[in-house]
Amino acid sequence: MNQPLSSSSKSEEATGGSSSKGDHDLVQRVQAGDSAAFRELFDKYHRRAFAVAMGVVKNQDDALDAVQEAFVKVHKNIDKFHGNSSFYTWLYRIVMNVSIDHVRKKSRRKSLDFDERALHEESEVAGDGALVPNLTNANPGKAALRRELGGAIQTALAELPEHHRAVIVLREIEGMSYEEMAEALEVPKGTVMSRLFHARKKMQAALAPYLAGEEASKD
Amino acid sequence: MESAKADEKLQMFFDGELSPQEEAELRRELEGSTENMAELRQWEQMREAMHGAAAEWTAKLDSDALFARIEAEVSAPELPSEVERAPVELRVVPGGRERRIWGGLATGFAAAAAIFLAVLAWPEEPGTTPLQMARGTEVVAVDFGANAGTVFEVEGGAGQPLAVIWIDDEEMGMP
Repeated sequence: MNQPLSSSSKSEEATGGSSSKGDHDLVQRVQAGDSAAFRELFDKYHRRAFAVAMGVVKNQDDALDAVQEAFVKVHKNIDKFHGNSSFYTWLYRIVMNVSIDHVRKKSRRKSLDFDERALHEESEVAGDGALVPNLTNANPGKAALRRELGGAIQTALAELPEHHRAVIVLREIEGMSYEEMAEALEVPKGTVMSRLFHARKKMQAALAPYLAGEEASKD
Repeated sequence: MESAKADEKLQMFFDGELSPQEEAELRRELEGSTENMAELRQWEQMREAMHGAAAEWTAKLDSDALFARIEAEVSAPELPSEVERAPVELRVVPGGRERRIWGGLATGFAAAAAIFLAVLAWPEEPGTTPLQMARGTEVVAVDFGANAGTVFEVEGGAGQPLAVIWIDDEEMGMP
């Protein structure tokens, strides 16, 4: 059995790399009015927060707005954070809620800007490698397939219901454990597992041609 | 039910959520299952593709510009929200009820006066209204037209003299 299929997929960055104690100190300094500590928290988490937001809103400008809004909320409400949960699950809860709000606002305007959005999506899917997975691959045919898969993943994510999108993004991009996702999304662990399974199944169905192609290309 | 349980376990294996013992057991079981292996491989492909996509997204990110936006918003003077805005104050005015009553009455009188003046100023249709004179008006002459009549004076109820203009019913010269 291939090693990548073993159970070691949890992101180190999401767990050990977060250093709860370090975060706790930084949070305390921010609470005391230390703006440099706020910048440190931003530096530590903004890229991951942005990736999570991108997975939900699927548009760079909206993701930037969502991350901005999330960090502003963190700054304004830092006094209410008492450290009962880890800082990053609290942050991701905010990022996720803000991102979902963006999606909802956007969907309300959907009928107005449908044509423009469709064009934008088309250009993203047909882009020149913007979403290419960073896998080492010398085979041009396979690389093209991976490029296509990257674009198709974004489209497939967009088709998922919000709650499915949230779990798969937090799990696959952020590498959160079931427990952490349950905390961040404020739902039971069993719900997280069920949503994740259904999200994966839907993604698989949407990406079937690409995944089958991968299989074929390996032979 | 069994299938759902197996799916759940397979997913937990993939996500590293099983205990080491459960994981070792499942790993042995999976060796002979091409279907489950294919499933795991597809999940792995999706995960790799999503990681790749995320890496691309964040590579383009201008962190300093984003922080500048956040800093600007955080340091901007906070505008009160809709809820926090000062509510409209209701002041208690002493004698307000009386003021309202007198105000209403004054308005009523003003309206009545306006109607009265309008009636007075209304142009009369010629020949339809009898002669009207205010008390104390001196009558210099009376035109009886085709009728005959008499003007005389009687004493009023308050001892004041009242002028009476008496017009005969029959027109002069009529048979």
